[in-house]
Amino acid sequence: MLYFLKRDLILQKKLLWLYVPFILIFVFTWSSPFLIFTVAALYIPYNALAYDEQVNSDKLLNSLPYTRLEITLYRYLGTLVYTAVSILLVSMILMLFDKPFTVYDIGIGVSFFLLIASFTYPLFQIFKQGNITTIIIVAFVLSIGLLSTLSEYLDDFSNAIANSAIDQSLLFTVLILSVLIIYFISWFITYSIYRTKDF
Amino acid sequence: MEKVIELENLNKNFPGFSINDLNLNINKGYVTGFVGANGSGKSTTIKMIMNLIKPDSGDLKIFGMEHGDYEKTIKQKIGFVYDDNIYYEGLSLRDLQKIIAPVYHDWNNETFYNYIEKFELPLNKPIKNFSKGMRMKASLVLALSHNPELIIMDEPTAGLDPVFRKDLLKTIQEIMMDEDKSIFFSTHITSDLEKIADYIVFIKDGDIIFNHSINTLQNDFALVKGNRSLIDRDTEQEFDYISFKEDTFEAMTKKPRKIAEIFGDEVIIDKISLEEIMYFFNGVE
Repeated sequence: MLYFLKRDLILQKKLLWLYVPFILIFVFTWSSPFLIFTVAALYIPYNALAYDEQVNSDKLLNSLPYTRLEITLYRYLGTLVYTAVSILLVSMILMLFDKPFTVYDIGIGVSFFLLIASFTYPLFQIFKQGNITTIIIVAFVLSIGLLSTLSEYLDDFSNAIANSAIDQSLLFTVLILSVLIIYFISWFITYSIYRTKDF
Repeated sequence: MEKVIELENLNKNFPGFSINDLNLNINKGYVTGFVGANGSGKSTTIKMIMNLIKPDSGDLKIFGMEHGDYEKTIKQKIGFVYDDNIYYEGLSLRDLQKIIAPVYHDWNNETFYNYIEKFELPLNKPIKNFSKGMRMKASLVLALSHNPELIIMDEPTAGLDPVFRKDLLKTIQEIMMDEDKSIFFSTHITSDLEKIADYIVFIKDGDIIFNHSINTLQNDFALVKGNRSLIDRDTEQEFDYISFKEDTFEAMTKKPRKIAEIFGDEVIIDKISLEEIMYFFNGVE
């Protein structure tokens, strides 16, 4: 597990300097805080995927003492770790610049990101190498477009949750749990494909 | 003799290429060269050994263990070198060391730095600025620093200049001072093999044609030259492959003593090189 985290960080050591400026751009151009959480969470895992695509990294990973189950699982768990880091970082930046946000912004923003990841990670296993960068760009543009369109609705939604009579923490827990279940199913699909692949 | 690699009835089908009932045993403690033309199945076999390609059926054991249950134990003890670059281009050897070292229980930094010094490799320069020879050396350093018991190399000498090939062969000889180590490597440069290999495995169209010790090849195989008129339906049986050129013939035999008895001084019986053996097995029908 540590190998994968370390590898991603060493690979991205130059890009990591751009991480904070990248978040700042969204802080100052968008009003919806939950979108910032989504976009910030995308940064490290999707850059890692783009790096892996440049070389035949599956050939290296599978020649090292790792099982295919570990390789896919660590990618998914690593993404959760980076998501946690991004939540901390964005929260700190938002507080620093006095931008208001709620725990629901974090919940919805991160859920959105995890849904995007759940959808795209298995796709990377289906499509051939060489298309991953295209998929990343398309997924990114689509999700941003989708998010912008939905942002008003989602803002209302999160306000509605905040003001509704239903137990908010219960609703929130159900949301996070469902997303995590979808995320786990996505890992299982990815692993099923990866398990029998030839490199 | 103890086996380090055992392949039994391996089958793998690809569109346009297949490996059928492949059987191969590699002895522990020796250098085995794996030869064959391009597209004969060398890389596929190596990838099956490394579990990069899953066979459709058959048994595959490394150190007597199967990948299914012992994949990690097996790979802890293997060092690998491939002919294409599998390391991240933007990273230096120092970065790669940081990434790879923690993966292996037996990684030894001293060994790593010794090889870096020996091969005169820069530690802090990105791999993308390395020449082909330097990349191969870098792969070799990363493959050898965890003191592997089995070293698997796919075409390590391809596209390299003679000076570096000599360096590589010397390194292999040094590694083999340790009797517990085994090396299995594919190549199409047969002159390299005659210097260092103990066994030669020859593959053609996905079939293992032979797996012999270099002594067997040198003593039991011979090149026979003579006048075409000596060859008739009966004498032809004594040769494995014959090629004719105008009035003369050139043939390979596995029975040099019998040939000497039959033909006496009428033919020339010569030592045969590995390249000639491959030529006969490959080209002449």
